[in-house]
Amino acid sequence: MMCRLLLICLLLSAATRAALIKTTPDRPLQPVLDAAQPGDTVWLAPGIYRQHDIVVRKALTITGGHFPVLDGENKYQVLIIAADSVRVQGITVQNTGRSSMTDMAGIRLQQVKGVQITHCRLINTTYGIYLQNSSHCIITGNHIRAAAADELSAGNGIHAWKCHHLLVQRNGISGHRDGIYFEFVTDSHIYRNVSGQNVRYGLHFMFSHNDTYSHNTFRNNGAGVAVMYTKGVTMYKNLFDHNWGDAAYGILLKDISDSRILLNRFQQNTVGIYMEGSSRIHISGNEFSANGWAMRVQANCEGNQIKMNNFVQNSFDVATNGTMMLNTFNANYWDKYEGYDLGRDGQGDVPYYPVSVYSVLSEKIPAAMLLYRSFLTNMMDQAEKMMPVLTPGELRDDAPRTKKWNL
Amino acid sequence: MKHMLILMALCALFACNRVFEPVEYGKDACAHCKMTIMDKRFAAEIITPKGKVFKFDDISCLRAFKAELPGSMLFVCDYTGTSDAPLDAVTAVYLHHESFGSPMNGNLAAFASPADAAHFKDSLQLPLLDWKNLP
Repeated sequence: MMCRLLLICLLLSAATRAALIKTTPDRPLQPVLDAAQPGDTVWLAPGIYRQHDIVVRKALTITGGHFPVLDGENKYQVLIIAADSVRVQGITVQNTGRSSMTDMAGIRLQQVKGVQITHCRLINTTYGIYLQNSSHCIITGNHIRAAAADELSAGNGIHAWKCHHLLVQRNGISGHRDGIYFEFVTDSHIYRNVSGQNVRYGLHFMFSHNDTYSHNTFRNNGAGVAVMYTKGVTMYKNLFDHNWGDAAYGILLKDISDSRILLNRFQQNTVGIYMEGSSRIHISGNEFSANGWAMRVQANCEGNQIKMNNFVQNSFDVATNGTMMLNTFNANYWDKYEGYDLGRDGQGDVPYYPVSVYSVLSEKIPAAMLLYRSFLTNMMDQAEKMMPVLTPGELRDDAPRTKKWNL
Repeated sequence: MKHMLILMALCALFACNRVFEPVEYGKDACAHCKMTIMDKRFAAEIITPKGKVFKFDDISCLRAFKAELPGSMLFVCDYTGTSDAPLDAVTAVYLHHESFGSPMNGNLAAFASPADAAHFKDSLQLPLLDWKNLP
């Protein structure tokens, strides 16, 4: 008891010693930060601070009134955090420089732990928030916008490299190369972000294992999400909306294994899920609606289980590029299913073949799409249904649902 | 005989026509990894003997691409970006370092000549590589 009281007293005294330091735009910020004690709060008065390469070397809280603006004047990096447990909140960082050698960032975290960046605005930055070799950091509620006028030299909104245990949540990101980019990042969670109008991907994983992303919206990006060379990724309850274009996908999976794709919605994408070299992925409870292709499963995928999904109003349900099929389709609802259910148990009595003859043809000869929905095509489709020749016979759903899953 | 000649002339014509097809950055997808090609510093291209073009976003993607045929032309982009013309992959010189940060983590940068690479070579203290001894 005594010990505990003593501890509380100590903590209280420590808390009272933490000072609030106010500063204004006409004073250089760096000496103010250097003079502060760890635990202090530095409060920036509203205004524009034309200062750059500000390094935070102590555990400070940096905040301000009415989003004070730190401006990099299109030449420099702005805020560099090099101490653990720093908190940055409620400020604006804008106009970083561009360089081909160093990745210029609005806020850069260098080898730190427990840093929180909350409710900041990053406007017109090459890289918005750049996390390098850091762990246990929280990035919450930031507003990250770039114009992406010069698309090629654009960086990523939130860029994490060699990190672990991050939480990235409730951010709005647009106009960057990738909204969120994870390279060698493990055990992290991406939650409730909105990533749109990015040039390449809404979210991009490379070599990043055991991460989860959920409840995010990916809209109108070059492509929705790319997950590459990774294992153990859980993706659930995300919305993939309107990712149109030649090389556009809801999710692009390349060399992924042991992952789960659950309860997502894919609406109006060129391809809902594109899979290549991927294995042991559970895809269930998803809704695919009004996509060009709901899924493209390349023949080098194996052991994937696709069950209990809804496929509605897609031009093509499934396309593949081979005849081998080592994946399982089971108990999905397909709106193109024309079978019957005499037993009335909600399960169709004849199997459904989701690969249409035309998707096989267009896979081999893309120009054949010209004749899609012509009379001849319909005839071919009917003939193929009677006597399958071109479509892979093993790719079928033996127990298609006759009623839509209520997802 | 006459037909033969025409055929040979045609062949010669098509052989000459094999030139680097410019990459449409932000639109074209890498033939190997399917990513959109965005970075001018690392783009690469294969043109097969029949003239089919494959584009890549990283030199490591070009090397991992198994469909490369004997007699293909290989191009890589100049890391320094001084010339818009691509380099012949076989005659270019290379540096390999993590800090290049290429899209697929191949981290190979191509240069037209050892002189072009000198700056990076000295500052990063790297050995100069050529096409045959790439890692």
